[in-house]
Amino acid sequence: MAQQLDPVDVVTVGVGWTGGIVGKELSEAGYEVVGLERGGEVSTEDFLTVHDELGYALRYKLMQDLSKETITFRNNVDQTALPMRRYGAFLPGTGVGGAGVHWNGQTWRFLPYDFQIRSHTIERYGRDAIPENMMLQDWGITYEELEPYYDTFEYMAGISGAAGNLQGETQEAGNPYEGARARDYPLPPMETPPALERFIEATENLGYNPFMAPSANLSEEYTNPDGAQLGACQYCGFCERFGCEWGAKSSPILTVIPVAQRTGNYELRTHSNVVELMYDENAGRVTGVRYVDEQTGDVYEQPARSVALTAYVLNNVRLLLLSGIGEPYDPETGEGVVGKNYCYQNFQASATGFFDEQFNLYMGAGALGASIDDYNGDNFDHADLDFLHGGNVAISQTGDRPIVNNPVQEDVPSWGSEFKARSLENNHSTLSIAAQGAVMPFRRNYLDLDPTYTDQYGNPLLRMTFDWRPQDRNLVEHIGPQLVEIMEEMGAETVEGNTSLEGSFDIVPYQSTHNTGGAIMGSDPSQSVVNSYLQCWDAENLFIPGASAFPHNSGYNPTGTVGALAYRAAEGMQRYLGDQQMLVSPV
Amino acid sequence: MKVGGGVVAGGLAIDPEGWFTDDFDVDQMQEVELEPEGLQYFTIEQAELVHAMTARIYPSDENGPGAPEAGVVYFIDRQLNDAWGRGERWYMDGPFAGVEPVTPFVEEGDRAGPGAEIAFENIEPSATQGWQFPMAPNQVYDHSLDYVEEYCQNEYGSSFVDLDPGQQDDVIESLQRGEVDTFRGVTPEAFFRMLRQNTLEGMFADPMYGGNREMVGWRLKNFPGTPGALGSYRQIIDQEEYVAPEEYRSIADDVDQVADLGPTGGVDPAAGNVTEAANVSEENATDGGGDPTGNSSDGGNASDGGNASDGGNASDGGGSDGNVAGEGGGGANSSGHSH
Repeated sequence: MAQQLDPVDVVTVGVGWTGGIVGKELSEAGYEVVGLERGGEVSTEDFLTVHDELGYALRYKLMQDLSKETITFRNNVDQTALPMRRYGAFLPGTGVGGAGVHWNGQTWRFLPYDFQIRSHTIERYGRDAIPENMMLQDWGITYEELEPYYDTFEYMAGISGAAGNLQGETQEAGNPYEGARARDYPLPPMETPPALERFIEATENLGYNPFMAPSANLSEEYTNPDGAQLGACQYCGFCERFGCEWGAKSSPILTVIPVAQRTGNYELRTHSNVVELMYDENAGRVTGVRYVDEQTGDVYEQPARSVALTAYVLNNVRLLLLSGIGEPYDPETGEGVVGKNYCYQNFQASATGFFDEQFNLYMGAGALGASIDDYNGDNFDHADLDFLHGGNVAISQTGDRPIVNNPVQEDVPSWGSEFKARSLENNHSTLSIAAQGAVMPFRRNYLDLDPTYTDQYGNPLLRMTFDWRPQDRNLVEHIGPQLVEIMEEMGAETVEGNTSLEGSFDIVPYQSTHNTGGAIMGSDPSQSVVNSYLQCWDAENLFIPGASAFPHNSGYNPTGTVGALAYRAAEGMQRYLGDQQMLVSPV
Repeated sequence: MKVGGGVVAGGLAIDPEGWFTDDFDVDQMQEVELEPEGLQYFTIEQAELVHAMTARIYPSDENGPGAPEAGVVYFIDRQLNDAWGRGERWYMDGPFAGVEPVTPFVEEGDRAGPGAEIAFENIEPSATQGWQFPMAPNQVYDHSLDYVEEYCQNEYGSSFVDLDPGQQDDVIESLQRGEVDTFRGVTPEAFFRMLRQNTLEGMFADPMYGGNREMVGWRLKNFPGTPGALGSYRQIIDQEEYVAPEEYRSIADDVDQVADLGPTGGVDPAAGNVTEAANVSEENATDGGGDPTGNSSDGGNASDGGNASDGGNASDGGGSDGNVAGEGGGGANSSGHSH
């Protein structure tokens, strides 16, 4: 029997970037907010002895415990989905701060093109440019409308970078393809080590437009508008999958969560695993959430006037399905919305260069990178190409930690004396670049509930059905050879390129924790789960920010857009708590 | 920390000209001795077999010490006795596809949901679906080591440990190719990938986990280890020349350093304020240098309950993005990105 708790104004399901932002904004506005987080707390001092590659990067200290909950996976509807029994392609986090603690810090804005991708494509290339089974949608919001929220996120987080487009004026040092920004980044770009200089010079020689990638590893010490203080990055090379002992990688535990706690209106409850949203379908509202205290096993019901579903993409979608909110998507009929437009990213287009000199690759930072955007979005002409979108191309110097960094040429064995000799020789002399390929939504790539496998409480696991499409293969075949050319221009002795995408999506090797979609935004309730305020069409007091709202996945890391949408949702929640109605009329 | 005569925060002394200036001679390292009382999980026979196999995967040769000197066998022994070896953070509920419901590997009471009437034993898992064997790593080792010995007896009439190095390499190559016909319940290539990955982990993980003795793996690679608790490369990140580490540092050194910093390590957690921490670190820079020889296998608290997979069947432990070499594939980096 669940214990009934006193009602509060707002509950967030998960306390990472999105839950932290909603918690801060609503508690500052005077609402009583409870943040429910299934994991425990971490803090900066926990990371003083963080330089442990095995524990953090390979035993996944900060990631979800798969024995309690995982997903099932199959490539297509004719297969039986089987559990992801151990980690591979992507790494859902857990704990206060969520993936915002162990991320790399690469913080982008999506292109104006992304938000109007369908109408832009039809206008420029005609309706036939969109394959019949590609579920391409506009987002129901424009870049210009979202710009102030991006700005708020970047100044809160202390992003380091160089503007490429200030109020319509192209800036030399930045990305000339980016949408217009009202003002520059709060901090200058990070340092540029020699490996990145190589990339910048080579791409300039080839006529591209390189720039230093925007970073949440702070280039300088910073005090944000909320008074939170962050340190300056020391380039120690332990970022991704690690926490930062310098407080120099922006995260919810350094910024929004402590600010929310200082209002006196915010309560953080850890080890609180939400298993269901309580849904009144007739009223079109949620009444609260049911959660399990993971330490005692006690079950609680927390009533709330408004709920923000702020877990990871996959858990957002799963909780909607488990709670019966919204019509589940059916890939055969194309009807229904929840679970639709699941997308990922495709990093296959890449080039590795073996040099005859050494770089200081043991130093680095998660978002220490240089980029070109000349093959991203619609920044290049697709008229004669058989794919849409593209990908940001980057070199990153994240720190070549020794267990996983044993680079050898393709013809070298993977063990034995020759492997040892060549991997030692190449250790500080190997650079690689890759395109972060956008993935478009397709009719039979989707999420639903698994019929067989269950979590620790006996609830169905989420089932992922996903495979590459010709669109993805064509993208790799177009961009891959350009990367080989860049690496050759960088001066590598030998270059190995990946210029094709073979076989099916494989859940085994790590690729990217950039899962998106399943509870997408839009302007038509028959085609989307949430409106442009991330307000659920089927439950007016439920808001669902996060990458689950992306109708497709762009060629960038998602966090900047996730952060902007969270601020947008927080504004929507405040308006909703005043007006108590839908904020946007369906189209 | 000295950088071209300058001092920056952190613990690592680096001289641009420096090279093994801590006077530690890796070539003097001896093989670890195998003793039953030093083992937590393996029997002495299992340990001798693992020791011999890892010696072929990362050998001692003209490029310096390898798995036998680094103590990789002790690393694996401890891992198998820990949460990772028991698969505590893997999803190990049934049904298991392609596995008969009644086998030595499937426990009674594996829970199955409403669709359990599907005949999972008739389903062949796709390789893209990852690990579907009903075994945790310690079971994989227990069974696979028996299968390897059985195979060597069949093929050579001898234990693996008594074969000559060329024959041992042939056996390992047969494992990698999936051609060892004595395996049941797990494939030879899956065992090979796990063994190879664990060998690299034992060479290069922090010495507190039982391998990488004397930080030998890091010395081979000129990898400095930890840059120090509150260590820094900020002053040298844009330096043109390659900066070889002058000394090597493990987490045990950082633990000592943190103990000197006091209960919060000089960090104000509430504000995330590290300004003070930086100052504290500078004050401690002189004693932040690593002890070049102070790393026995049992220094520090061995592993920490973290676990779950070394990246599945085909990757180098999932790797830092941008540095994912195929486990068992031998390919160079094929994808470079970071999230």
